[in-house]
Amino acid sequence: MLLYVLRRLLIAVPTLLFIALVSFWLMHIAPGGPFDMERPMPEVVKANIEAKYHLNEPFLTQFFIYVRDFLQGDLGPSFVYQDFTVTQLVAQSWPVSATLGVLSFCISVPLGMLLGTVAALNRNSRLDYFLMSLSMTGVVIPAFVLAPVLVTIFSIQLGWLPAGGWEGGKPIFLILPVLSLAIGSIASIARVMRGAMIETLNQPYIRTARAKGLSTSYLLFHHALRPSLIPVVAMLGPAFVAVVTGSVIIDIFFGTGGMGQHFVSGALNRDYGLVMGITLIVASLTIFFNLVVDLLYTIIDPRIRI
Amino acid sequence: MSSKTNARKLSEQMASSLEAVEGRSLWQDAWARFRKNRAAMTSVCVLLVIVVCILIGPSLSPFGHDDIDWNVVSDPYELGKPSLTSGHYFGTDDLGQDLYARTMKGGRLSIMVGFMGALVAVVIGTVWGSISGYVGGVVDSVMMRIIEVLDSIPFMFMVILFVTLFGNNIYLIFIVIGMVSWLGIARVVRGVTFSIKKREFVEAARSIGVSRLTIVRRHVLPNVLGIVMVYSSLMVPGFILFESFLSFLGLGVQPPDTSWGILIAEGAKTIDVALWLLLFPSAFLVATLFCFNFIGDGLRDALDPKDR
Repeated sequence: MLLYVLRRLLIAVPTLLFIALVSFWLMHIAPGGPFDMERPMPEVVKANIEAKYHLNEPFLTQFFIYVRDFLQGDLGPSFVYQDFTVTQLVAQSWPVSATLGVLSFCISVPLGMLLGTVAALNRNSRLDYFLMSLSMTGVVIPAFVLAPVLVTIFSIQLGWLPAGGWEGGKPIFLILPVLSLAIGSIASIARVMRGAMIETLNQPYIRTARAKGLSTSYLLFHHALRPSLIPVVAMLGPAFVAVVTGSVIIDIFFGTGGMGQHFVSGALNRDYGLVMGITLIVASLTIFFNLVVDLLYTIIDPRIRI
Repeated sequence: MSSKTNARKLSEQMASSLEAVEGRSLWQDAWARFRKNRAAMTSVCVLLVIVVCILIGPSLSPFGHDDIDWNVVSDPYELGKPSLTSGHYFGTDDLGQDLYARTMKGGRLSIMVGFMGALVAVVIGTVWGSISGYVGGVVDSVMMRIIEVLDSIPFMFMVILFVTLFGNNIYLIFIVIGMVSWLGIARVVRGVTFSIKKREFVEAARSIGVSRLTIVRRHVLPNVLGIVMVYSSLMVPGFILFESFLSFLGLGVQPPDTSWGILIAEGAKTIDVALWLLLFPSAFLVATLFCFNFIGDGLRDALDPKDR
């Protein structure tokens, strides 16, 4: 187990290096530099600036300098927000994104599992059809349609909740963003959970347990839940990515000041340093999360050896 | 004498009844099952309607997608409301552009982009997966390791990075997305190829000296086709969604071109005064996504070997 974790982490290093190299190389060959001005600047100034950002070094040296700084927690300068380093920008926006992500994850996983199980237990009943068409709607409606609709209802029509902003993370400002983020995940987790639960409930050992006269709740918690969790856990990786992706929309629509907002404004302003820094952070998180999911498998099902 | 004719008649009867129970192919079976799926069949019809709308819809409107109707510009949120008499069936946006024409025009792009992305992903994934699964050994493990490495790259971010650097040519973006999202298909195809490779009919083909390439083409690929179809029908809505997502952020299609994502983004800005700008494009997008999802589910139920 420990050996496996070590090996995976060891593989993660070249993977991250590869991602970094590719994105660094893309930035290098892209037309237009961050210091291109309408009027050419004096040679001396240009040379000074290039020396400061190591732009006069060969490509590979530049890359090694970037990696060295990255390992020391320095993501380099932001080319657009000149008064900030990328590290500062990320440190500022990271807590916002993390709060939104963790909250919506904590809501969507249990709720999705609950709804899926209820639907599976009442298979092909009216309740099942109702829940499943509801979840299909949830899967299909994208966050960028859902968020404006929610704002129309709860902020503009009813006036109950603020339409955007962060205000240091007051709960009332959190409700709509978290809801917009969570609904899609709830829906897709519920669908997967239902399928897995139905498959489990059809197994012979469940029939035996039923024949023994065990109650439904005992059956569920002691026999059916565990094997049904495997496909759900497999979903958590993509669900995590979906939350990250969705948070970009949420950050922008609600103006929360999260990482997604920086990422897109960085992309629009050609702020290479910022975009690359955030890409690497998300890549590291994805790799880490995939590892956690794989380890969860072995905990849920001891037959799975890694 | 008569017994002979009787016997002949009988045998003819038997022969004709034999013809009547001609074996059904996998595809006929699947089609029969698909036809029974009401949600999927309705979706096919609705999708056809949407496609027809998109194809011939623009010619039914007196306005082009980037024509400005100067009559409504003075007060677009009052004069530009959806109405049948003004010719703006879906209303106009704040610039006085006809939303109906724009929704149709945007739909063309959204749906085409969905199919293009899926096509690229399917071609690469199928080729990669079938080679990996059929050749096996070292080649297989190298090819699968490469997939593992690629899998941990956050593609949304890479694509946005790509857009940042090379501008927003939408077709370029979609080829890139297609090229980075073939991993799932490749995995599935490899698995299926792996199991087919060991079946008797492949062994038989090999024993009579059929070349490897022909075996893959004639025996492996047709068997993989079903699962690839299911997979790609679920990928198309994913790509449509992703394009809308990029366009919503301003990273996708650029004006004067338009797509559902852009229209929704514009609509989202004016929900308090002009709800129709959000509702019409969203309704089209959501309906299309619904249809593709139901069709995908229907195809899976029809073609999934697990069921048999």
